[in-house]
Amino acid sequence: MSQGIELPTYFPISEHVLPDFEGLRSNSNALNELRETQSEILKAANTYFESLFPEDSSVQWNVEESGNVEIIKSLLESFEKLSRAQQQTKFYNDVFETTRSAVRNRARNEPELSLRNIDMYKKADPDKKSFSQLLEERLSNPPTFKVNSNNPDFIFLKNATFVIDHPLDPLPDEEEDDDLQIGGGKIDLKCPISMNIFESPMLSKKCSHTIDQKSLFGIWKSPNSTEDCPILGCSKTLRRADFVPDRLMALRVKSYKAQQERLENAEDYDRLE
Amino acid sequence: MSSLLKNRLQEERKQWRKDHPFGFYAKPVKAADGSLDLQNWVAGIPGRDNTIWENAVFPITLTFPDDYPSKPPKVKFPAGFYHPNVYPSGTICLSILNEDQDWRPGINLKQICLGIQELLDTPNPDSPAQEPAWRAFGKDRPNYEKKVLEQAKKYTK
Ligand SMILES: [Zn+2]
Repeated sequence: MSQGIELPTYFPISEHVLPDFEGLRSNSNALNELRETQSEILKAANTYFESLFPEDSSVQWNVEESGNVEIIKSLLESFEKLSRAQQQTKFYNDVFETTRSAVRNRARNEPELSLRNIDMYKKADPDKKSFSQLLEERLSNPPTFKVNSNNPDFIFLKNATFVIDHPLDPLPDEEEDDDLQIGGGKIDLKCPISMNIFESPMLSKKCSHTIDQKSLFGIWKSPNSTEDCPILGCSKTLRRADFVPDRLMALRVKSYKAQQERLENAEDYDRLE
Repeated sequence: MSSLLKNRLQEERKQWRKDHPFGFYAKPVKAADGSLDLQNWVAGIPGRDNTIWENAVFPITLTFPDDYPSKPPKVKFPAGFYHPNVYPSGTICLSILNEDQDWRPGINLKQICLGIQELLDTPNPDSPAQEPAWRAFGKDRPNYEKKVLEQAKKYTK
């Protein structure tokens, strides 16, 4: 045969192959496994954190052990990596599914390639793309995957490891927030009412202002009374029930005290030498 | 003196000595027996630079009531102080110092002093406390500024 048949650049999937094509599935198992591993890692980080830094305020921290914060940090990094992997997988799955059904719908309106209609396909839009071309094109433009951080345990641990290292610094994301109690860029570890260092800091859920529990009971004499938030310029009206223990502030105080203790020990050591 | 009142005022003093805004001063007065009277303070408020209040430090007295910090301190300039929001007695009319308005137990000495400094050059025409300065501020600005500059001379730093 001297005269070969020149195939068009685009033609629809053959009817014989269509059932197979429709049977292609993205891997949804991978997503579940990533999710499960993520929650296992977070659980481990949580348990370890609680063993290092018990919430019970009467338990003293083992100052030496605060160095083990690094282990929690690396667990949180793994959590973040898995979170990105999960989004990547989901992105891949979504693109795969939408592309497959788009190609399938397109094929519904197109006759099977045959010698009779081969010219029609040859004249068709030269930019028309096959399934694999479309898939490649769509996958080549992935969005940026940010750590999905709405998991409260993750947020708490992330913030907790930060304040343990930096007891006086505002949380990195919130530096622009004017409402925080920042004096010269530092967090005040003192109750604005008693002006003593926090013993049992309580956080207002409505406005994120923190006062000590003693001061709270001094202002809200009965459980149902309503009072203005005691902070300058805050317009919220609050009840006792609007306050919850401020775990981060409590960590800041403990960490600050542990740091001071370490400094004192170092000074004592210097003096001995 | 209740323990909350005493503790808070001692802490205010400690805090102020450790860190206070530039150009201000604040300290409890000495009682007759030489001890510190924590419920009565004197303080100085510098006028802001580049305003008609600059280059002077204006003296105030602060009297902390027994139920401070539930109630605000009474803060006064010297009697006859020229400012639209200062009563003839010297008492300062400022919302954060008013129990029925914006006073909050969490407001500290530093915030009070900074609030008063701000009031000096930004009087509130809606709450007149004395006739002469209020009228001049609204109707005869050159005369108002002259009077303020004359007063500032008396308190030059
Ligand atoms: Zn508040």
